[in-house]
Amino acid sequence: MADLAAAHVLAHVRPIAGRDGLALREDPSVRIVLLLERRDDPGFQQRVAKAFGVAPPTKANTVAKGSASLAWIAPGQWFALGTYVDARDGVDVSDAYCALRLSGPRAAELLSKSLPVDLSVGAFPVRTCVRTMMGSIPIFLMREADGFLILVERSLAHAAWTWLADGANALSR
Amino acid sequence: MSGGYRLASGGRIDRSRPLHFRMDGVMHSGFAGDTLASALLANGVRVVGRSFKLHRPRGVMAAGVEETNALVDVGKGANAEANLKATEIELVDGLEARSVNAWPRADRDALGVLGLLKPFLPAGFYYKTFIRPSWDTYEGMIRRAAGLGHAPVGVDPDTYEKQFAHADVVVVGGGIAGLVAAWSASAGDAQVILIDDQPELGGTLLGQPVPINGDAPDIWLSRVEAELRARPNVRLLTRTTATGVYDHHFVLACARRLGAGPRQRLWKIRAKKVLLASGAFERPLVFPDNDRPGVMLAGAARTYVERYGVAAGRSAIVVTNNDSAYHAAFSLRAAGVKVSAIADLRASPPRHALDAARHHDIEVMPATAPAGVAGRHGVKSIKLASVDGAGRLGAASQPIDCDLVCMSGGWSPALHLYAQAGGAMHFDAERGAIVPDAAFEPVVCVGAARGTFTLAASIAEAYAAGAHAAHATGHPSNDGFITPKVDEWPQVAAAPIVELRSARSRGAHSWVDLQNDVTAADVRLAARENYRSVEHLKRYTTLGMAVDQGKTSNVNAIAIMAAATERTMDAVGTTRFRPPYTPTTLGAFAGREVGQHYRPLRRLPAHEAHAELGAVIEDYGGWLRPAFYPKADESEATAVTREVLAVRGGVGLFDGSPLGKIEVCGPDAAEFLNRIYVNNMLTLGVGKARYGLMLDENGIVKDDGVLSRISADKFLVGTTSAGANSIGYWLEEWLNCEWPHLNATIAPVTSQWAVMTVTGPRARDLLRAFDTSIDLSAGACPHMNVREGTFAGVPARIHRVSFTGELSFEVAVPARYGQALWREMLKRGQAFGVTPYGIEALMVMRVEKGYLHIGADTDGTTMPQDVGFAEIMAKKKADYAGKRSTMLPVGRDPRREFVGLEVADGEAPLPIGAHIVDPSEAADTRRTHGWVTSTCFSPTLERPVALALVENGRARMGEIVTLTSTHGRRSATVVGPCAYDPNGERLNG
Repeated sequence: MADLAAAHVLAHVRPIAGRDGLALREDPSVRIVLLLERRDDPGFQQRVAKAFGVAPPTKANTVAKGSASLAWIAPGQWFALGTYVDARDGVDVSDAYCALRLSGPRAAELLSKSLPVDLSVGAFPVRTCVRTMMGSIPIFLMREADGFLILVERSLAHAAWTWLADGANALSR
Repeated sequence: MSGGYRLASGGRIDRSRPLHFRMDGVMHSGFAGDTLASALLANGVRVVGRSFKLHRPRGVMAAGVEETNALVDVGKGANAEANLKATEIELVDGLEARSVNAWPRADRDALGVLGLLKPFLPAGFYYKTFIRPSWDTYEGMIRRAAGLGHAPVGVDPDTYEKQFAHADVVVVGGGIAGLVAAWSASAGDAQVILIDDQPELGGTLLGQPVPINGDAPDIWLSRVEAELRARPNVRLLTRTTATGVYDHHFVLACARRLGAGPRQRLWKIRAKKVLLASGAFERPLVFPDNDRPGVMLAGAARTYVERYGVAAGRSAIVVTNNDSAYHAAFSLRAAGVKVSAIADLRASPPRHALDAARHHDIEVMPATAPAGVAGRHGVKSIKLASVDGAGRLGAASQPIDCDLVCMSGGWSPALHLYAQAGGAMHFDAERGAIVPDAAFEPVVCVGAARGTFTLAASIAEAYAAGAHAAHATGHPSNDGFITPKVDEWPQVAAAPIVELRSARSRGAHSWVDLQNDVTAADVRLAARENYRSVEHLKRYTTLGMAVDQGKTSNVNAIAIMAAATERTMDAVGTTRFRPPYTPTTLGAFAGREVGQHYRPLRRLPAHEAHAELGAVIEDYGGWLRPAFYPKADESEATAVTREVLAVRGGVGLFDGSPLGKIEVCGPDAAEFLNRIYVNNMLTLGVGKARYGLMLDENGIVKDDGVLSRISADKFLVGTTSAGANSIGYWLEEWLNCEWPHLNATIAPVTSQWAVMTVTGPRARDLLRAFDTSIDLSAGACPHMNVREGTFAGVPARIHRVSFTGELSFEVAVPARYGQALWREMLKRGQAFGVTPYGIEALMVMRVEKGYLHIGADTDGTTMPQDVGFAEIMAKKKADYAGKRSTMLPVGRDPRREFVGLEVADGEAPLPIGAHIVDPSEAADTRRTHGWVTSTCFSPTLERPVALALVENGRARMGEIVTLTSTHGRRSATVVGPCAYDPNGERLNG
């Protein structure tokens, strides 16, 4: 019996939709599992490949897509991202982050106001990811076919939202 | 009549759009396309400012960023901007400008009399004079008299933006060289950003046109610009100043905007190649009284005619050491200004120049130089004299009437960005300029910035550099560029850079740095006093340290120093160039990171529930947390007292979610943690928790927290809230850099779990109001234990640990359930009188218990033996981080130890930070024996309690010590830290 209701982090804000070619919303359906490879675990790659249908990528900042997206975040560390993610092989950190989806033709421009990363499609194509700073806020960023997925620590979700919304206002000025 | 006026026609201004503005309260008019400087000249305003030190009247000298005199303050109140160059301010309707360093106004300045004192105010005057009794005596007065504009008052109401960008090639400068370089670099698909500080592209050609393909240069320029704008891989940033080039081709540029929107935008551009086409600055000539209003750079005078349709005077004399000023003479003459003569320092000016002057009917006087200028508030006449190659002047002529002196001392490449990036330079005598050394990859100079002073050569050089940059970044190109035909004179040598000086010209001053009032005599004085290094020269005389950063003065000063010390220009060298290239508004660097965005604060999962309860929410280490929950009009003290007593007597509820949580897993997890903590972690049983202390490499207490063993190879490390992130990185560093052979993983999970602390004698009653799979009875889950299971239907971890001294449970659930859990606990706890409490009540309770608070009760010198860990350290044989440092001599007695203090004088709580002193020590050598680190009134004990670090504190139990602070003298007894329930019976309920 679940007595407790799950709360969306940003239940109190209204999504931004279609303004100046921008859409920004929280996506509470994203589950996040942190996969950590131990030093002497030769079966790790295979176990992960079996669980997700794809081996974890070894190239930095790339994403492999199976039943979940496996995003390289550090040597021996991946995020497994999806709507259903088996947490058996990792640490469930779904509640540690708030997932934001940012899309539209001016999405990269908005992010470039505070991200030092080159977000041009050539340098940061679909299925690449990066952990970086958005102004003073640490984020994980991944480009997907339909836009960007941003993971921000749950406690900083409100700050990240107001920062992006404020930047979106500045775009239209 | 004297002074400037608007020409009937010509210029790039829009005469259909008149604008009105005020200067020092006087209404003037101008046109769209004017700068404030051109509009002031057009209105006949000659004195626009006063010099920094001596309040000498000064007029517009240049037409661009190098302007040294025409500084103004613009705007009012919080919108005011100080020390802007009038030559850089685009005129807008309603502009309000004020002269700087002048009162009541520039042409009638009350302190102008100081100018007469120059003979008594040489370089170093302040250092030598205002010594006794001390500089402080004079500083206020001097600072009021000297100085420039006024800082704005109030909070800046404008907004600022930042923008990151990435490019293959960044071209700085939108003159002909920059345009050609950008053209060839972008002919393929290389991403190119062109940066230019003017509202329109074209650079020097806008004001000093040279026919291209037989036409006015506009035609060719607009074709190139249109082509660049049409290329999708080109970004043109106008009204944007590149202010710095840093390592790895990182270019900083500040864009200004007219009208609505962010006032400035700071571009942070990561390039692969940087091409510098920043052009060159014309140098003034150094001759007596060369600072009179109306003495102007020849290129600037020409620019005012050609670009702004303004004659800067009615009757001009041109004085020059090179060819370029001849064109200024021709432009002025064509605009109807009388040009009496061209005085050329060279004994034999080149044939093409003489022929052209004859064609324009202007007399050329070879081997002739200016010897003095009359006219305090504006040039009235000039004396000329014969001159030799060393600048020695012969007998001066009779004064020749004129109101404009156009001077040219040659051209200095604008190498600031090149030098900032580390590029080396040398003096090229033939070009009469300090030029960049041949090869320097980070910044490649082209055109005038390289010392290439003909357009044809600049175009060829820029084209090649652009193509090379594209090629080097993997974007070859071949665009069929047609080199334009330029009708110009060949490059010929200028006369040497010298001070023009007469043995008889005593009393007159030849100014080098006009803004800071530095004369040629000051430079020579510095040489005599052995400040021969160019860096000493700069600091002794303040040369080049004004707002213009010596853009027009540095090379002249180096030449004078070289002559005075009989060295070469290269031997004197140049001072170090530092960013920014021009003054840049601090707001641009702050961007949007002001106000709520200055430091993003973290929110608790139950933030809204706390706010609904009326909690006073404050910033605790970057987290917004409830300080206390006042009822109605309760004061903080009343609320905190109520919350403490509620916990001690019943049950309290606290949101402890920010406590750091890191999962350490793997076969070597125990071994790894045993090396991190002072405590023995190998002996920690499954399901057990243990308080742990960790040190840095210097043996200093770094962090603490409760560590628990969830299973054989899974630990949960608890850190302080403030250390949640940094301790995660700290563990990663030790594991990956020092002990990579240990088989363990680290997962930070602080934000994953919301933690609600239920504490007080009735804590268990409250938990029993929920369904849980965990047996929370005293027998099944004693103090310092951890259990996993479900609670209220969701996964949970329950720690039995206490920071209040009461029976306590920390219930952790996935963060999404945090808010619901908080609300439900308050609801179901009503039956037991549950009271939410904040950080302040928690702090009171932990002081009562003598629990250590890292950072409050410890500092950068505290070692574990100081806080009661000596026994634990002695027992642990294994090594751990920081252990060796604790064994250094500094780690032995006498040390300041963590103790309690009990007020012995029956008064209020001891002041925080009060020092323990020995009154028998002499007052002037009295030292501290320690200080109060935590203090409060204990509602539970109904008396003050305090914690302190006291020298040899544990050996001094029972001793009455004297404390002193700004609140006076107190006395207290040294006791153990724990004032409440010292045997810990309440923990074990």
